Amino acid sequence: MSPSANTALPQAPGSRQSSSYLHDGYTLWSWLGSRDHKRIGVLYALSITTFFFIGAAAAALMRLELATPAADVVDADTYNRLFTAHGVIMVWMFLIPAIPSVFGNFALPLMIGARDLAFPRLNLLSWYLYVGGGLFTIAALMLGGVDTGWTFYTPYSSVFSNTNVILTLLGVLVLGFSSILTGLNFIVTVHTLRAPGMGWFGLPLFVWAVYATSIILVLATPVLAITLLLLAAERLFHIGLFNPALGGDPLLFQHLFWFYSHPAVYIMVLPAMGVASEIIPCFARRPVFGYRFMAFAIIGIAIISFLVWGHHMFVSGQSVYASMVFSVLSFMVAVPSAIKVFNWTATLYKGAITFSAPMLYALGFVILFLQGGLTGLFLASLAVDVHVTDTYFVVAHFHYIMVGGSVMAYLGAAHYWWPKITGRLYPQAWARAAALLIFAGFNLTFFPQYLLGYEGMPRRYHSYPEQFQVLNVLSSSGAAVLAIGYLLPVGYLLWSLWRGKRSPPNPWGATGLEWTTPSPPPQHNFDREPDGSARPYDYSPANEGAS
Amino acid sequence: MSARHAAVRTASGCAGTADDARARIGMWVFLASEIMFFGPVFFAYLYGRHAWTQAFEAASRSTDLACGTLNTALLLTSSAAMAAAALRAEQGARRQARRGLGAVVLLGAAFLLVKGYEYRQDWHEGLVPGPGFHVAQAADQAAAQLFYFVYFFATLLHALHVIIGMGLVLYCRGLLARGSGQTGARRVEICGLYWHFVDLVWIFLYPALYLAGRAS
Amino acid sequence: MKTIVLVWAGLLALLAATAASSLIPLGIANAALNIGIAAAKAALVALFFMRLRRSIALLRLIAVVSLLALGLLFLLGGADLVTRHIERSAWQDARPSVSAGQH
Repeated sequence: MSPSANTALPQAPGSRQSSSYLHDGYTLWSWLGSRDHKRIGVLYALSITTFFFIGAAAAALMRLELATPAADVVDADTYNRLFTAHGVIMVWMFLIPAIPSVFGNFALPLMIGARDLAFPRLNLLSWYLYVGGGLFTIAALMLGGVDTGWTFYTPYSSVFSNTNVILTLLGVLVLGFSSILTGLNFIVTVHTLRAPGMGWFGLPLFVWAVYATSIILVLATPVLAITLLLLAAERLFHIGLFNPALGGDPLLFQHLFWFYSHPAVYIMVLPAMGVASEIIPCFARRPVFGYRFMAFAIIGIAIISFLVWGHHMFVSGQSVYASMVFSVLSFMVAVPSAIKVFNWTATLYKGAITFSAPMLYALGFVILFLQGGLTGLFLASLAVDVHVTDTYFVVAHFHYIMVGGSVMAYLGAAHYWWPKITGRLYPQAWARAAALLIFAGFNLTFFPQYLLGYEGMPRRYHSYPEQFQVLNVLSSSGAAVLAIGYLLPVGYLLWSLWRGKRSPPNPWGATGLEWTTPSPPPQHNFDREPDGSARPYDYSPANEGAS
Repeated sequence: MSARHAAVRTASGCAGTADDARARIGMWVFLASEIMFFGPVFFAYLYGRHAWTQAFEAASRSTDLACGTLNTALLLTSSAAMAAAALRAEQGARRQARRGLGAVVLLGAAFLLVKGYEYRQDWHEGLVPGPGFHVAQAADQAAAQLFYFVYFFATLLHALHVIIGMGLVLYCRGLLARGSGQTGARRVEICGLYWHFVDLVWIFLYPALYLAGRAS
Repeated sequence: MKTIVLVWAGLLALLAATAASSLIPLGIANAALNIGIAAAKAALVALFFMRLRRSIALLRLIAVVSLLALGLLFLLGGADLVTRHIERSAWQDARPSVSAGQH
């Protein structure tokens, strides 16, 4: 059955609005107490966006300080609190939950033809834990602050720091429980609520990606939770498990911390890859190249992600032999990632490409993720890492993946599913311009940082020698462009809520069950139980004729 | 419809509904996260046991073997009672199931009482980390303190899970009293899984904390 | 019900075995025996009380995967710990990073 023929039942004009999930109750409590995965996804979107801009404000202050070599905007202590706040907020309040909790929540049940997630009330609890933990953490970070860095290395965090360490740890602990419950919900949903006929290899790759992400969420996040609890106890009771002066070992903390925090970066990137796999076939009008390899690559990335954490500890005193093992394993994780990049590229071949806003974000994702991933290989080489570790090279590497990768994909997902979520279309010209501005601003901000790092500028310093100024000024200018770029979507997307054209069920002519239901969907998602037996990404010419 | 029912048909050997399968998978995924929650504590313990072997073994000898063994027996028995209660609940024998659940709560309470007694003894014998800490025969008192840090951290965390488990069991007992059919039986089975997990953690905590170097 | 009683008896027997054997000096065999018996007890609880023996394969898979993930922490983290003193690199501390305590 071709996707465009499988649209929802025709409805009388005007009646469509009244039956959508958005109009299913107008009180505050109908939103704050909702078990509807679509409403919870919107709640997450609002809170995540708010936290994103708070974390971005910290970054703005940092880049302002770094525009000049001297320490003339903030003092060292304040700068330490700024980069800690930026890291904590961006990692745990934005990057980890963003795509899964907003778009996973909204789109995943629709994509598998389900009415909701497996445990809707648990889903709502996850959101409350997220908001509660987030607000608590932000309070700890703003009122007094923490200066340990988001990595909380001991013994500084356990003994010497005089800041709100324990409060922040508790806040992050609560955020962690939110992620675990979300991951649990997704896993059970994918196993038990697929529409009849939808086998595992009928799933869209976004579902595969969120599923693999959920496995990592469930297995890795508890390790973070217990590590932060141990650290809090250590700090509170002056124990010495991580403190060499009292007989302990700081590397024990680092092993436990990075055992979570490395898979965590794949929590951030796998859903982004899933988004790219939805957008690129749609706007190239081609089925994704090598679907099974893409699916296995996702699982491969998830598995190997647990094997490489020691590459964060090459110069910490870890044994050389362990470092060599971690180095080799870290090279291995590039293989499935590369397979995915090759396959996205091959998907474009002989395609009829439309450079819509979602497509610009998705292509930008592929380019920047590739760049960031390649520099990850530099860092995986022991000898190179000794030179560039703890410099701006590392900062550039992870920002290419997290900002150039995850944030671009998040925006791409927002632009792709916006019509489905809100029932409105946004102005394509503004959206394309914003996407290009963001791409340009991003590169201007972060490419100079590779050079800075290679030349030896260390990270987490608020002042630097004069020789680094030019590159820093370029980077700070880029940050200003990026800031404008990020504010533009807020503007035109909000505008579209009141003035945007109403969207048809399938504005992009995409395949996938979520496009067979009205935009926005009714509360119960599907009027008839959908048939899940269609092949995913069936953009073959035979089907294109019907659209 | 067939795909969903096929997965459900053989769950736990008995014909269950889709809700049963969802609940079981959900609880097992949660237990997987709990394994990863307690697991690193064991890693920290093994770390210490490797790095400061003599101190950890001396400290382990100073724990109360009788209390530890008794507690293990109590938890193992409570698991058996839990399994029996779940079986009876499935068979519709609500009164017997409730009695089994009551036994679980009593055994759990007994466990906590023994633990509390043990903590009191530890306090009086100077085994709580801090000033006044001393473990006989340990050459490295700092490392022996680290053992006891792990001991108190792990057993307190475990005790918290015992309390939560007892709460869940009491809730199930109340459900059965109100006659909730298949839902009640399912909830008993799911809470049972949690209780058995709490037992599993103790099964590994016991030799780690009480039996290391016992024969030296 | 009979299975439950039998498993319970088996668990208590294993408990007696592990407690008694720990009092006999067997060197490294003590630790091996204790771990083995604990694993046996855990297997009995998981397979019979938690019904893994009769469940759908997915539940066993979940249990196994989580144990493997934990095993990775032990394996690779342990690999660092046991090889740390074999050959020190220039950036490792001159003194052992695992100190002997100063009290």
